[in-house]
Amino acid sequence: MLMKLGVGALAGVLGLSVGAGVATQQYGTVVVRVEEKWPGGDSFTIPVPLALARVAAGFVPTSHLGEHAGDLQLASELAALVADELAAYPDTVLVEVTDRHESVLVHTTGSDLVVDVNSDHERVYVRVPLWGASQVLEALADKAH
Amino acid sequence: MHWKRFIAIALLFCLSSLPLAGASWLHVRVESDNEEQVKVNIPLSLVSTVLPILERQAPEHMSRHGVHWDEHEISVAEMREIWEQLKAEGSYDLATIQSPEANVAVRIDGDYLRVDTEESSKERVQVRVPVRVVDALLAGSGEELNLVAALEALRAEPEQELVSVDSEDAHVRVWIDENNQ
Repeated sequence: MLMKLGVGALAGVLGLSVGAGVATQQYGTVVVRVEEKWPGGDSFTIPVPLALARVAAGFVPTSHLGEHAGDLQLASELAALVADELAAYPDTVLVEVTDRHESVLVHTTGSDLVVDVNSDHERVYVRVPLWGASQVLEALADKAH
Repeated sequence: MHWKRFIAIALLFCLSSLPLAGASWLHVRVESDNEEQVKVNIPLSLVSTVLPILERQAPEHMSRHGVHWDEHEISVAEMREIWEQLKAEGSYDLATIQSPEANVAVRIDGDYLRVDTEESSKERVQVRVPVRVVDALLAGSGEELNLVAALEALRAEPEQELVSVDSEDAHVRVWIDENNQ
């Protein structure tokens, strides 16, 4: 009996893990990485699985979304279209601005959009899977309506 | 005269006309003497996809009612009227503008609206905009520029340089081609 419970629990955990893994892979993960370059500065990386963000969107109070319904719908639609378009192109540097002390790089990796700001003092890296982001925005827009 | 103005004009024409099929890109390069460099590579199909949605769903974000030139505002209707009169005159020099920095000639040359400075000018400016793109931009009626039509007209053009500016402190190029960089 105990063994059956153990096997059942293990199967449940494995099933959840696989499901979460599939969802994470489907929606992608927003990655924010900050590196402070001064002595004693912090460095940290924050991964935000968009599958989790999509679930969390369901808990946002409708009263906070109503007035933004139009903007959310527009942003969702645009993000999905841009993701589709970018996926059709090779990885590309869309914008690159450099000077003596700072560089800003906006490029694509598949349908992910990457913004990389590197200065003398710090580096900020943000990677956004646009398709997954569009799904989160769509969930918010649906809730707003 | 400042190179940023020419970039703005070029982008207006270019961003308003997108290539439909896949692989046409708009490129901007700026190199200045203070070691600042700007590179922009935009797939025109991306613009043609996004622009109609913005026009439909967020018209308040689309500022396309006439143009400001220094302190003067020229309405779209006035632009349309001026353009038709200019085209009716055929290929000839439309205007010559003299300033301390540069002497500028504006003319229609075959299929292109061209803006060129004289070689003696401190700043060398060359702008080539296909007449078809301007036609498309000003197509229609009322007080709106037809950005989508202009974009489609631009996408039908072969690869070419649209803007080139060489001044003492900056070099600017805007062009379209089939490469992503």
